[in-house]
Amino acid sequence: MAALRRWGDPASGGYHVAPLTVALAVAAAVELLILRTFTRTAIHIPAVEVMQGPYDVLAFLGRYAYFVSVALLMLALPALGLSLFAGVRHGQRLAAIPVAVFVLVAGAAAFGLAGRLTLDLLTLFSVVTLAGLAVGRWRLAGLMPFGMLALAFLASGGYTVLQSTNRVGGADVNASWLLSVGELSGVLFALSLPLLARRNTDRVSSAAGLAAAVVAFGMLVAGGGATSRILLLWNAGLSGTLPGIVYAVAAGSLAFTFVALVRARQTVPAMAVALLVAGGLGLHNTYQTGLVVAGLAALCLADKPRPPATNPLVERPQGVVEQDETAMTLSTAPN
Amino acid sequence: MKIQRLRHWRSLSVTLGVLAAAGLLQFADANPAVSQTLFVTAYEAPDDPGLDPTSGVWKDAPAVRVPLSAQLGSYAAGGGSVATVSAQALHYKEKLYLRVQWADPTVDENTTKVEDFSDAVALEFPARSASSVPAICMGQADAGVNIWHWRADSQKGLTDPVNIYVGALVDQDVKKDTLFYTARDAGNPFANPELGPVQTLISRTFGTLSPANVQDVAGKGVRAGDGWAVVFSRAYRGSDFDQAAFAAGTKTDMAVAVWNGSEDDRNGRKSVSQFVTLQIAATEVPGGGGNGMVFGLAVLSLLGLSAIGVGLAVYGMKESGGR
Repeated sequence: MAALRRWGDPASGGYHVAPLTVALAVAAAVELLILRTFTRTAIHIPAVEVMQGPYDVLAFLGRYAYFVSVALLMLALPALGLSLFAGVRHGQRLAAIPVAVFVLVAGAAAFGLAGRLTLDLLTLFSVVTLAGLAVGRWRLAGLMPFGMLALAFLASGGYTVLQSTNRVGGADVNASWLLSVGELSGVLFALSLPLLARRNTDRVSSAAGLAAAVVAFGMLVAGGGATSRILLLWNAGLSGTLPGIVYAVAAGSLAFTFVALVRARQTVPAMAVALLVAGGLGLHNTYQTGLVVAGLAALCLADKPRPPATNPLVERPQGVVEQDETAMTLSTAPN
Repeated sequence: MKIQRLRHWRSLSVTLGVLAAAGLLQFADANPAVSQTLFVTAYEAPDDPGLDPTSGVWKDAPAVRVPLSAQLGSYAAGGGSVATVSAQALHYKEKLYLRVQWADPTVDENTTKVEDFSDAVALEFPARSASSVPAICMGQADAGVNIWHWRADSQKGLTDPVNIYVGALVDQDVKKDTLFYTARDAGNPFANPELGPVQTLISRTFGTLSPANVQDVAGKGVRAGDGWAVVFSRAYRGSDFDQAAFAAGTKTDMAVAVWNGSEDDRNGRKSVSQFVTLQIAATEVPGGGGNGMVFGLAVLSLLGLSAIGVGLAVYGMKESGGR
């Protein structure tokens, strides 16, 4: 929590990034669970009148969670951009550019001032450059997951971009192979994400990963997995064409990484992972892409995970920081 | 102490501000997020496209390949045999025309035998009354869907069983007595070809799919190459709030489902898309379709983005010491 407090402290120049990231991740998770999952699986609830009232209340709350998440995103993205701009590493300062580009183009598109092709290309620019810079920040541990994330966005987003060109006189091409590339690289992103937390493996995170994998496998297998695969398509941008076990292991990997990072007190990277999951892969809307941009920006800003303290009795006192943490404090301090 | 209290109040005011802003956005139904899904744009047609899918008017209408994936029904796992649907849209005198074309080498338009299933296609839109984007699976309680369903067998009409079972012997001629055609006698629309090849349906949840009171969608399908091309048409304004509504200068969502009869597709066993955005443009079809220049620029942009991403990753790793 020391890092969290420090980031939230205006004196350290953190622009409240950590509390904002946490709040955004929580709001996005609530929105994902209620609006994008519950209200869409409620089709299985019998359409009896007695169920209508509770359903309406939950649907209302889900929509409210969505707007809370949107409002937080509009605060978090500029805060992340400013924090990156104040970083000491060139890589961090560079990462402020794609965040700013996305904020500007998404804002312009909301007012009808940016065309779809411009919006899509600049969105891909933001995601790919941030993923590249996140690789630089997380070094070899981030090479595979963020490389695959960038490839997944380029492939599935590239398909959308190429189809968009038809609207302005482009050629009618069948590039559906791009979707297969996007699907594979998206799954590989999830499968390789535990590399970020490889030094923080413990029984709890392993158990959480295993439990998530088992639950996901059960959902994908039970009853043919029709609803689960539709939710996979809607929520994660994956078509579900691979065997169910692949997605189950991917879900387990995501859960493992999240829990391991939380337990290693790497709150911001953990929330960043949650934002990437909530945002999904590919181009859906500027809200979901914004979550991905925020997640990647937080990962560019975040500290690398450290092994958990072996002896809680010798936990570092406040004010005593390791070399790497000093760099982080400096890297987020405004000039 | 004073600074701590100040921070506390600041956090509280930010939290309240966010909650209030969210409430205002919801109350005003002002969603600042912009859709980034595939776009099918309906431009104004120079002439009435009619229901003929081979009409020359469609030549210049931009086509978007909408990807489909399998919908695995609980008991009839399958679907997914059709990978993409090419979708085009036009409008003419406040009437929307949608043309979909897909590859399907087998013609399945006879469903007299119980083991036969028809080729078909359906378009799904949010109902005019929907308060949010509905669930793609038959809508949801607060957001219904309107489905336009074309079937090859409905278009072809009934085939006399005598022509299907050529060796069958009957005691008497039953052709004109509907009592022997139980589905037709019970009012099943699929057994009544005079109702046309397209049904407009409404749904709010599983198990509530039913024909709309007013059947106002026209359609026609023809074989095109190794597949089908089907045109749907309807006036902008539907007959009631359960139907989709369109207007020039507006956008709505649209999903596509395709059934391949020879793959035993029926009901929930089909190939489905996600929602794409249908935009009704108030302008005519732009000229110069298919010149490929913009396409080339888009490809170059994507390649450039890849190079930038790789370059930044290498740069960042070098800056971090490569560990």
